[in-house]
Amino acid sequence: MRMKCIAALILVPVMGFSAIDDSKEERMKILAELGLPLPDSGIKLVPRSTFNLTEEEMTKGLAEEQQMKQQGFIEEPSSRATELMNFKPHSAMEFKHYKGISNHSGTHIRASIKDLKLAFKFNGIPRSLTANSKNIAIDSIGFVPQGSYHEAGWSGAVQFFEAKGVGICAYAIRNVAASHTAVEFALEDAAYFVNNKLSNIEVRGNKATGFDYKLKWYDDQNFHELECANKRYSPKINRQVIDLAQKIDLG
Amino acid sequence: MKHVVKSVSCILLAVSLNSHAGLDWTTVHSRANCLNNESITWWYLHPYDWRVVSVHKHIGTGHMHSMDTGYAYTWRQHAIHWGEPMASGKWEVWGYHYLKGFHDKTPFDTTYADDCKIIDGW
Repeated sequence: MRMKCIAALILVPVMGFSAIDDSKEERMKILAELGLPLPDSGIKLVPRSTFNLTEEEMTKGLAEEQQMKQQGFIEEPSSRATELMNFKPHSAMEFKHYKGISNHSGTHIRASIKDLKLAFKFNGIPRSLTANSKNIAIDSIGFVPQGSYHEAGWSGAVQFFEAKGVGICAYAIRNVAASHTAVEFALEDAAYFVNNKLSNIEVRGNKATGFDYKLKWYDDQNFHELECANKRYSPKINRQVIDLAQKIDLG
Repeated sequence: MKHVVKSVSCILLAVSLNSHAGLDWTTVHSRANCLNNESITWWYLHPYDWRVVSVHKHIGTGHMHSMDTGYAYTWRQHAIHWGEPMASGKWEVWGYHYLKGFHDKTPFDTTYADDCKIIDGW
């Protein structure tokens, strides 16, 4: 009898894990059959042809790439640039609106990173960063969650801030372990300008809306995005945004 | 310009009062055993090329099936099985939230639910 009890105690958890694994295998098979990259499958370089982009998407993308090479930015109205440049007054209203609300799963803005429950370690970016031997003052505006909320907390976070001389910025970090994210990146576009990590930058905007400088980079622990908005385009601001990303990445 | 921004902010916040909408970045969610089983990707008024695959497993029989939205340029991508729990008992739901661009294709995040909890951002 005692042996049967011991056997049952051993078998129950084994069967339990086995059932979970079977389900996961089947779910991954569903995604693979749809031709989708699997969660937790890492950072991969693949030919763009595997993205199955439409002819219209390819034409637009190649034309934009050409503009990036020729003039450093894609000329089109950027509502995102306008939105970011006006994020301070928007955040003031949001702070007022959600005053006194402290539920962890809420998507509202927080003044401090301590008020945002995260499933991974992120302390916010330092108050000042040194780039090109110059000190860039960082004036934090607030923090919001991104991604999914689990018992352990959010899988990602975004910090809005003003970087003096650069613009109003948002740094978004998504944790690989918490989100199970992965990426298939176009081989043709691979660059490594943020601390030798796979990186990409795009600048969109015009004189009327302002310009949105958007930089992504990837590592095994986290996927990162830095956006900065400024009224004007200049190669100097472009370099400053890359410098900012490099410093943020180094923590 | 400031008046325009203030007005837009007011409208967005008013909407968030009613819908508990996440306003400032993308959030992803799954819910099970409500009126529906569903997985949703959401960033209010910020459209991207999103795709959601929602996998539903019946608790008890182990029967599993999936719903696939395909890629679409939208700010709210949702795979919803209307009425599924009403008709057939308890379910588990996994949401796989994909994002595609000219430079990359990514499983952005993964969600799981076995209950009907609602959170802000829905």
